[in-house]
Amino acid sequence: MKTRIKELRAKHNLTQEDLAKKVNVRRETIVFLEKGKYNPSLQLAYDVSKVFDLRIEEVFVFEDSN
Amino acid sequence: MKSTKTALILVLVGAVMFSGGLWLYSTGKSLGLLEIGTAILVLIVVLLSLFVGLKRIKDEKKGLPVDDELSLRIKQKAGASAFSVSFILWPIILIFTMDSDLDVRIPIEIGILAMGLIFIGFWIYYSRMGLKDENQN
Repeated sequence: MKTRIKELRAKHNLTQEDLAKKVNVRRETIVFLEKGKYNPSLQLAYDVSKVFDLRIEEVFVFEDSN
Repeated sequence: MKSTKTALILVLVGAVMFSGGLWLYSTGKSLGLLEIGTAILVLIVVLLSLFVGLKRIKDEKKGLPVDDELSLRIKQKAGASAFSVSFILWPIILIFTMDSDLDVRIPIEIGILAMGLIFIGFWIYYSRMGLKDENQN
């Protein structure tokens, strides 16, 4: 899974810490999301997308494993 | 509640260090390799707990949550992995100590410390590598 979080953060002038506070997670979680090292829960994916006012699939790009 | 948990971690660390120091002082005898090794391992665990406790305080002051879904999943996965490894660890300890003259407390001590270190090892590993493939078959 790839994400556009880093690009969207830069566009909205948010640091990782700012975004972490907005979605109530640790900064490390945002780091892992950006690097694709963690697949978030649906709730977290929704919360992050809501910060950028986008749909989930516009922020998180799921790769078809099949 | 979370500040209480952080404070508790630091108090426990202090208590372990104090009791460890007291034990060392009270033995009154020269320490063997096993005692020194045990003391070093306990110190590693204590220092790591101190590091975690201080990081929690720092995060709380910044207004960031101390635990979130990722940190809890990492702890759960590290615990599960350590538990799985313990199925191999304990038979190995028993095989090597069964017919020896060692006091029974020593293999138990070694096993418990090893399980703690294995958990810490897995926790550090998953904290660095993430949990990318967790939901995949």
